[in-house]
Amino acid sequence: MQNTNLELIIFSAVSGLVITSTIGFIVFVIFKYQKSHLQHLTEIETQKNEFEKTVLDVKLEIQEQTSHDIAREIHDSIGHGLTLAKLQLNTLLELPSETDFNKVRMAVDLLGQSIQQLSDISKNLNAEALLQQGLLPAIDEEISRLRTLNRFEVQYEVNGFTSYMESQQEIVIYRVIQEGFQNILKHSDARCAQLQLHFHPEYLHVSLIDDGNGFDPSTPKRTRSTGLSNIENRIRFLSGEFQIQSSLKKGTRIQFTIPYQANVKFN
Amino acid sequence: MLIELPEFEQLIEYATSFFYTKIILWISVLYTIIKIKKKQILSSEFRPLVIYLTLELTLGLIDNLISPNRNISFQARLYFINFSNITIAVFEFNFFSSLHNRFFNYKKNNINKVLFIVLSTLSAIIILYTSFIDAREIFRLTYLLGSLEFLLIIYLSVDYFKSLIHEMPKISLFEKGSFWCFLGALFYSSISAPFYVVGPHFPTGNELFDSLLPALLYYMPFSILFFCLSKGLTCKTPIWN
Repeated sequence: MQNTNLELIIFSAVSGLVITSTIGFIVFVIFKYQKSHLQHLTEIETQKNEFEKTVLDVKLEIQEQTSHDIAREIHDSIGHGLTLAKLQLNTLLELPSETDFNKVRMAVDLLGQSIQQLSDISKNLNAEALLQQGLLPAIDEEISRLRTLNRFEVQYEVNGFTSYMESQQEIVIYRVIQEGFQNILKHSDARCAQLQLHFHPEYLHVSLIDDGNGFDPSTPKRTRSTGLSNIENRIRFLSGEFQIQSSLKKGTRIQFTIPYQANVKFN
Repeated sequence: MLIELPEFEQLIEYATSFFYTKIILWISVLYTIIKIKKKQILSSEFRPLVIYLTLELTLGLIDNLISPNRNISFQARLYFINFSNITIAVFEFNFFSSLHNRFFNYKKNNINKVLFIVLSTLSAIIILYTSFIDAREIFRLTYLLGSLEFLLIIYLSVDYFKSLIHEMPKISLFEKGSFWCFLGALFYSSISAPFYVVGPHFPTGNELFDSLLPALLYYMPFSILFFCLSKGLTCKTPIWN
């Protein structure tokens, strides 16, 4: 009987050991596999982000190149043609008839205005040329242009000490601000817009606020204007953080932060 | 082993005493069969599994009808229990071996073939041999073959799990069909293997021990195996992937 009990104990111990080692082995394999799986998922995510950034980079590069080409075409071809037409019309001002004189005078004025508008558009499209003086003068110019439109009051404020930024970074920031103002012009029906630039030691914080129509933030992203997604994509490209707050009839607040050391490939 | 070998009649009684535990087992087999889709039942890839499950269910049911039938001689009843257990063991190994082969893209085909031939030959010898020996020896040989089969399944399962450690994990382990199959196989074989070593000495006379141990160490992991197989059949990837 004693021997039987001893055998049962030995058997139970051996069984227990086998079962425990089996479970231990299975847990070890699961743990190891899932760890590698998580690592693999992280790698895929990183590759995906890098790919998206490259696509965005190429897209922005194409956009800038196209704008640059259009600006050059406007300046070199259309602008040049119109200037010649204006000069030709000026020679007709010496005609004796007063009616004809007035007509030609009007035509010359209209041509002059068109040339000026085309020149503005051309400058606007060519961000590289615009930013030769730096980001702040370019924004100043954009603000002046908006003020001449007289659609809404523009308040502009810069805080902190300006830091060095890559020119391509400046182009993207400038385009984002431009896009923001375009949205206010097109959709908000605002009476006042406020642009604030705050240069922190390590990043630039920008906020653009308007008191216009606003929108329902619960609206799905895909149904919103492409302008907003453009802004978001550009900021993501600069490894920045983007935030938008809005409610119906209470205006919109766009804020973004861009680190100076962001790795910008766009060239 | 110092535990005395059981008497002839005791063995038959013992073999028919797990009726309710067997019901759970059959439910799990049925559940697995249900999980195999119509197309899969006809496909050659699923043939080893379909044969295994069908044999398990039919032989198990016939076994349960024959064992308590006193009109049939003890020897014949015992011979059938022995025959069904060995047949199921062979087809069980065949299924896991084919699964293992497919998982490794038939790279280890030869080893598995050899193992299968060895097991089948041994089974045939034992089935033939048991026609001439007495009941206790039949049980002893059946358990011996069962232990050997379990050891082979443990080898296949451990080999599979070892390969997982070095695998580039594209999907979660719990979404892999093969993981569930081999998890069930390893769990079932490694838990039942120690029981098969002492199996020939059952019933021991200790009531609690006799009823609890086989249920815990054999029927429970066996049912878990089928639930694991059915889980594997519903995974994103097929059971051999």
